[in-house]
Amino acid sequence: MSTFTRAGKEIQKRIRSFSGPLTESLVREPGAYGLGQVPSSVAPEATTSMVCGFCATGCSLNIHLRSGEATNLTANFDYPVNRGMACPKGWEALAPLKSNERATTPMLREKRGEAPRPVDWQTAAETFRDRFNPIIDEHGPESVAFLSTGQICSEEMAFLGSFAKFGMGMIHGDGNTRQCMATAVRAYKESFGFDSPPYTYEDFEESDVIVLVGSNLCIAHPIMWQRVLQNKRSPEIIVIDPRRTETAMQATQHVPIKPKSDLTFFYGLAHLLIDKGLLDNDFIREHCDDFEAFAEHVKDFTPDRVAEKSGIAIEELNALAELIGSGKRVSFWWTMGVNQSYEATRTAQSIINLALMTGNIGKPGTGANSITGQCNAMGSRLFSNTTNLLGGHDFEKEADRDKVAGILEIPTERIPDQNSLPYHAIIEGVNSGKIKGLWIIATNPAHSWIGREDFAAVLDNLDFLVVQDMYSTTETAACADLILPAAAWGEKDGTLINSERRIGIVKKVAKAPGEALTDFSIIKLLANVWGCGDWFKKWQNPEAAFEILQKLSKGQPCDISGIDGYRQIDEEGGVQWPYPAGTTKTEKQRRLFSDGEFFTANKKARFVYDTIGEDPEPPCNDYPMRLLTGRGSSSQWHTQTRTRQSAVLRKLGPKENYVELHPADAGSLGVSSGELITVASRRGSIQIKAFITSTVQKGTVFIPMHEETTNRLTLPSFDPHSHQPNYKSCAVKVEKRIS
Amino acid sequence: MSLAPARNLIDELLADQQSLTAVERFSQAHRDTTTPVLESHYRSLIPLSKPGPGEQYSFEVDLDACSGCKACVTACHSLNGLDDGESWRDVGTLVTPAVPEAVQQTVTSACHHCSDPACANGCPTLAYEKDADTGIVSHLDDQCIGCQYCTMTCPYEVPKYNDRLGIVRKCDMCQSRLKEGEAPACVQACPSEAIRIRIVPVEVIHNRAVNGNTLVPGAAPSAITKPSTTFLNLRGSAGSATMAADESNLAPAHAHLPLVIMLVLTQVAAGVLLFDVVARLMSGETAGPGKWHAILGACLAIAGLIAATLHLGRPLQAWKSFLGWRKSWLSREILVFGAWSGAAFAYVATLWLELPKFIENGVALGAAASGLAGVYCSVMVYVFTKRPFWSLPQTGTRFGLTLLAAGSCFTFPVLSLIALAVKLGFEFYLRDEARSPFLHSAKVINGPLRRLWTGRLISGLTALALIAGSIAIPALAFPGFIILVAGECLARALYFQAVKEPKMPGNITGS
Repeated sequence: MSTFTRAGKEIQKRIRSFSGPLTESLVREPGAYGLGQVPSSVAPEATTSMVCGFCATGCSLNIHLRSGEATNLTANFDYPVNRGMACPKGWEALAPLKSNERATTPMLREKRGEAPRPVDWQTAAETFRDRFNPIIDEHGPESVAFLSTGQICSEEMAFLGSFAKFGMGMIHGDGNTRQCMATAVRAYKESFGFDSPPYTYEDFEESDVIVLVGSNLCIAHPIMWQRVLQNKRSPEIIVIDPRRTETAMQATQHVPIKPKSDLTFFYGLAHLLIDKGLLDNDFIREHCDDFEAFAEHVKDFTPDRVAEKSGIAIEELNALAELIGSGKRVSFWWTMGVNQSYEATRTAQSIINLALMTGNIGKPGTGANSITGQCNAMGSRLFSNTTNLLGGHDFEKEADRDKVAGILEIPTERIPDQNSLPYHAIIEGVNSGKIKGLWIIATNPAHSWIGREDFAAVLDNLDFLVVQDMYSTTETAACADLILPAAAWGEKDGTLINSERRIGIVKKVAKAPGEALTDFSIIKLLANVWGCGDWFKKWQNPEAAFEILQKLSKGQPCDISGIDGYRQIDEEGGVQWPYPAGTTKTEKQRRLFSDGEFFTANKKARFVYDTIGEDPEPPCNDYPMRLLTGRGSSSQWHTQTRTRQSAVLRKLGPKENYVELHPADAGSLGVSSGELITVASRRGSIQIKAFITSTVQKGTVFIPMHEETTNRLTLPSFDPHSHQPNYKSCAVKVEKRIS
Repeated sequence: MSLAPARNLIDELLADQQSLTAVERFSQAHRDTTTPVLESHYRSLIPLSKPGPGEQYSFEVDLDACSGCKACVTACHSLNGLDDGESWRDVGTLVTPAVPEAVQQTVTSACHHCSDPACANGCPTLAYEKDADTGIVSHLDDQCIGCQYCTMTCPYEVPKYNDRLGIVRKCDMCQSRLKEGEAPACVQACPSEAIRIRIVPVEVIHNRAVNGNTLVPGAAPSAITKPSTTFLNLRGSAGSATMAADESNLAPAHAHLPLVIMLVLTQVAAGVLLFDVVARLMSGETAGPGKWHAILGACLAIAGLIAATLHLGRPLQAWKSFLGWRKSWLSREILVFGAWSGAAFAYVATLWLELPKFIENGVALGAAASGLAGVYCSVMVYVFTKRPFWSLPQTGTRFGLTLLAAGSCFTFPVLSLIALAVKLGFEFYLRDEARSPFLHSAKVINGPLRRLWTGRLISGLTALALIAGSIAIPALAFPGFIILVAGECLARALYFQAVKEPKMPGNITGS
């Protein structure tokens, strides 16, 4: 090396900064608590775990704490759900808390059209009382209603439902769970006698055949897909979906049935199973009712008819039936592709029927399994006091009312003896002027409601609208007379129940901004100001409320009276219901019906079936294409009120709304990818970017649900049994022209 | 009901809301665990040994295993303590729209830790280090001056500029983790075990970076930097129909305003000084342009160089930029232009000083030649990026004609007219979608940049008219010059914004 070169190297070495403040800011250090290296800038002084507040997978997150406050998080390795993994939303769960769109103080709008002004809690609570009370006095208890959510803790839902119905005297209250889980609830109730998803996630790993119906796990429930990948039995993974979804591409077999042929398709499979004698006759005989009538019903669903309707060849139908009836462990899983339809309940039950007739229930790797959407949809189903009386009881049964009144120590007369109107009937009530006061909690119907073009105008009909939310900027909050600022997930204690009935815990690890309060505290304050605080004296704090829920569950299929407080839930990695008093030792993964006994009066499951319904809006000459909607990416959650607050999640989602269009349709329209085009239905018309792909079938288009434009197109139509909206199908036309 | 009890309750509730007691109330898991609990999950995903001679670490991505959840991106962000929205891993989508079965494939990628890293080769301050043992290309954050040149030289959009800090940052394959036997953040977080670290022989990297091979369809030719990443199971890659989901995205690239001004002004100044010298030498002792002409050139040179510093995130560190002169055209450009600005003022000084002729001529030639050398370096700065739209003929023609047209405006107006006319014709041809060899650029110019293009055309034609007029009416020369320079700035903005930036596949609606 020449002296010159050596001198050069020496200069370089001295001038090049291998360290300094910028380098230091990214230094990683060995993290304690089994974390491995962590960024020094946010290295924890302690950790605590809690379940995620987005979807119903119910992953546990390890929260990294400094001075008791969350600074970062990682996925929890010890939890039986996610085993150290999380999806992007989980990783970013703390980001939405820091948004400057948070509601930090109660806001009151004196006059419609004016900007709301901040008020103190005293004023807010008195306004709440003084505006609702006269409406109830003048127009009766049916003139006010509440819309709840699957996004808050069970304790809060129960308190909300109890105060609204028993305290304020409301009859009507429903939740946004109507938009996602009502079908599964209804289907299970009728078939099994109780709303009881029978499975545990281990069933993903124990199956030989995994049948996913209208369920895009890879995008909607990435961590459940991880569980599928952990299956060591080389399973057949069959995706039944009109779209070639991310999950369909990962599956061993994609069955692209035509949209809205699902019920026919499953009856056809039942027909073939009976024809081929691939039945578990012992199980049917001992544990099921109404099989003969069902067999008679599906006689008409011949392979020819089914192939014609579904677009699936007869040979494929035969092969599929033989696989399902092969005696292997078959598990059936469905999500919104089934639940959000005009004949959703019967479709869900047609899947349940396949599981029953082949004896695929109650055993490892089997089940007719509804995968839930929201983090606490299951809590809402059991404890929100909306569609059923607290704890899965019946408003219409006197014994149930007496039992609940006794536990709550309130007069039985305070409990309504009639059921609530379902969500869409509440909205219709607002539209027709029957409902004049509405209280909306942690949901954003002005974005999410089906056919929402004129939703703001509907809300304008109200005399008084209260929106209780962590953000003051949602489309719904923009219509409110009174905004109550709520603390968010991470800023409160409570429990959530996931898809597999696992009760998980959430904890207060961040300070709520400004004067925001937990939904629990808000309800406590409102009850106090309303003058019925005494009835809710025992609802001291969330953990005390949990004890009330335990008492309410006693003797029910969802009995959780044996749980020893939050600490047990925390230490055991969640607890699945049932967990009655006296339970001593349990497995971490438990499924229902291993004894073949169901929750009906005679302990038998029922085959429920129906004639094929009529499509409320099939494609026609004017609107020749069919619109499907659904989840677009793993980084977006529902109406994006939370996920759009994270810069990383924003980066991972599409920058704008888009429509998937089949190449053949694009060709005949003369549309190329990336072009702005018009999609119109009878309800509305939107301009949207075209994305040309054969993941959709010819004649169908797909638009993700996360942008507010999508539901301007959808058709307000509902399943007659579950009243769940039919988001998945309506007729549209696609035009190259931009109007 | 009295107000007081509610008031008390409100105070109590608000106080309770702000008290955090999770640590006290719940037991602490892994209080004494010092080894990572995830180790069993990722043990098989990272190598047991260090790379040997002729080997390096690399990412291996199993595209079949990837289900598109994108947890890798968020984990990179969280486990590395990055700024809001910052992540060193990105995801995009490959689509094969072909019937009968469409394929959509998520492609996750971070730094490819190239064997021949263009970020390092282009860096004027030697702020990149390719580790001799591991092959990891790391960025020396404290050495960076924020010139962002690496964001242009890297054909994979890996180094990302951080506005808050004024530097770029990038993936270092979590080398401190690997050193301790821990997996990088993205590897740890992938539920599908689709991202792994593998040791790869450098020879293999070189052998596959040939014949126009790319990492995935739509990515830049691997020959440019010889990336080390391996993508397994590229479904549908055989079919040419596979393309990036953002293939048709026409979003303009970054305009780099300070660079636009710097390039145009230095080229104009180099031209003005060149023709000042030429005119003076040709016309002998007395005639030639007035002294103002040389002063104008020198001042434009300084203005151009000041504009350049505005592009730096950390201008006070700019002095470090000589370090990379052996490899970096940017370093050379800075050195040459630095010398040139001195020469330009020396030349202006000679106009007043009575110096021996040979010194005067020597300084004049030095100023003219160093200006040309500087512009040549400028050309090479962009040629080095290997972007076709910025190739030597493309960039050389543009920068050269700017120099000629503006430089000769006052001294040789006919030459100026010809140069400007040729340049306008050249640009007109390139935005013609039927004929341009750069269809993407033409579409961007005719699409989102059409107003900029209209402005460029009007200013160019106006300058032509004024300079032509100045042959008869000399007073028109100055406005002609100003409008010409303004027009060149618009043209340079188009040069930056219409370029097709090589990148990994992006997402459906662009990213």
